[in-house]
Amino acid sequence: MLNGELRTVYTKPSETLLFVLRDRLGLTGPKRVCENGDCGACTVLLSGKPVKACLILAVEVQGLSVQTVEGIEDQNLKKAFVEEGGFQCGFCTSGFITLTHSIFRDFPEIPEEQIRKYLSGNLCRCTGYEGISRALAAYREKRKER
Amino acid sequence: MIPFDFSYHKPANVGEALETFNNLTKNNLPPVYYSGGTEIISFARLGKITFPAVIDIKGIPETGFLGIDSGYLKIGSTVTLNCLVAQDFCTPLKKIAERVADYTIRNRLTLGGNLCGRLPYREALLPLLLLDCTVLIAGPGGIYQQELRSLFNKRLLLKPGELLLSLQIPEKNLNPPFAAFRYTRFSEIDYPLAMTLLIKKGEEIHGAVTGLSNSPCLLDYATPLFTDCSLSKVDRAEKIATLFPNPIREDYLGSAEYRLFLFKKALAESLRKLEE
Repeated sequence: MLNGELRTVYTKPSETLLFVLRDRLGLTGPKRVCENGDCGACTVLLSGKPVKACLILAVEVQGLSVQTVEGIEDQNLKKAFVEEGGFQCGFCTSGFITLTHSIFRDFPEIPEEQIRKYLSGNLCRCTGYEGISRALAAYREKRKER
Repeated sequence: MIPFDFSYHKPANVGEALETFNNLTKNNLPPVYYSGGTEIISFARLGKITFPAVIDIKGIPETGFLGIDSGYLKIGSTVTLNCLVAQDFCTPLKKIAERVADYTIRNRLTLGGNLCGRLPYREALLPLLLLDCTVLIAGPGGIYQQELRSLFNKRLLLKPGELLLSLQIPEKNLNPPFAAFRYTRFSEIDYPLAMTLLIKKGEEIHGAVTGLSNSPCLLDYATPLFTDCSLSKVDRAEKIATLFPNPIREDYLGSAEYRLFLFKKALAESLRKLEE
């Protein structure tokens, strides 16, 4: 199940989930950057849990649900990144949005100082993380209002 | 991308796993067992390892169990490190697991992979070695249980075809007083320059370290020294560090001298914490 839709794709065992998502299924939200599990730009949700798609074989996800940034419908989160300058080149953004979406879903009351720990596996070379922090703070406020 | 092809097999039970291993080996296709896969994929992509087949063991029920059973905490080899972070049965294991890599990667890192991998750190080994863990192994000769300590000599000594199913720690050993310190060079989620774990067993203190040399190391030689009150804690740490038996790593992350300094610091602070 991919972003809520049942999808069938033929892949070789050697093909990673990241490759299949981008090159076979046209979902270019998750980005190919380090391909070593270091940067988090390829973060997707597998059975609801954030994982790095570059370090998963596509064949492993048969029968499981995969969600990419394209399938995340939380417009408030995406809007927060836009309005608070949470990105510059945008390459890390889908990873941050996907991960943050799952963190706030699983730990709604997570304290601000804790969230940095959870995001430590995602790197941004452009913003210095300030814009991202502002975006998360704005998103947290928006969630409280709801 | 992994630059070579291989076959993928996912057995539903131990028998099927061993049979698959056997058949592939007989056909000159020696497989590797595959759990979280992070290390296998990384090394394969870089061309450091090649293999004609993988056997994904995540479908074997015994490898996915986590819980208390018959007086033991039983942990399957494919249980992820984030599951170990989330559990409250064994605090030393929880504290060690939560410092390994980052939150996202820990959803894929498995205990078995951390123990059987080729990276020199294998941090989860430290609490398991110190808490008298036994392991359940399946192999051509059947399924057997053995003390982890007796199977460990710089790495887990599994014979060809053997598969780590699960580990178990006696319930009475799960939560001793302990002190753990982990020092890195660049960021918290980096590989450790020195990671120590000391636990109190009755009047004795037992310890282990990783990051210092090319494999995790039990500090059995230091057991009498940990509680030698004729020396200050700093002097005890100095003596233990001086007597460390293995060559100390020197690489881009840190010099041997710096690692040794951090090791002494960790020991002294651990002793301080345990004697509070």
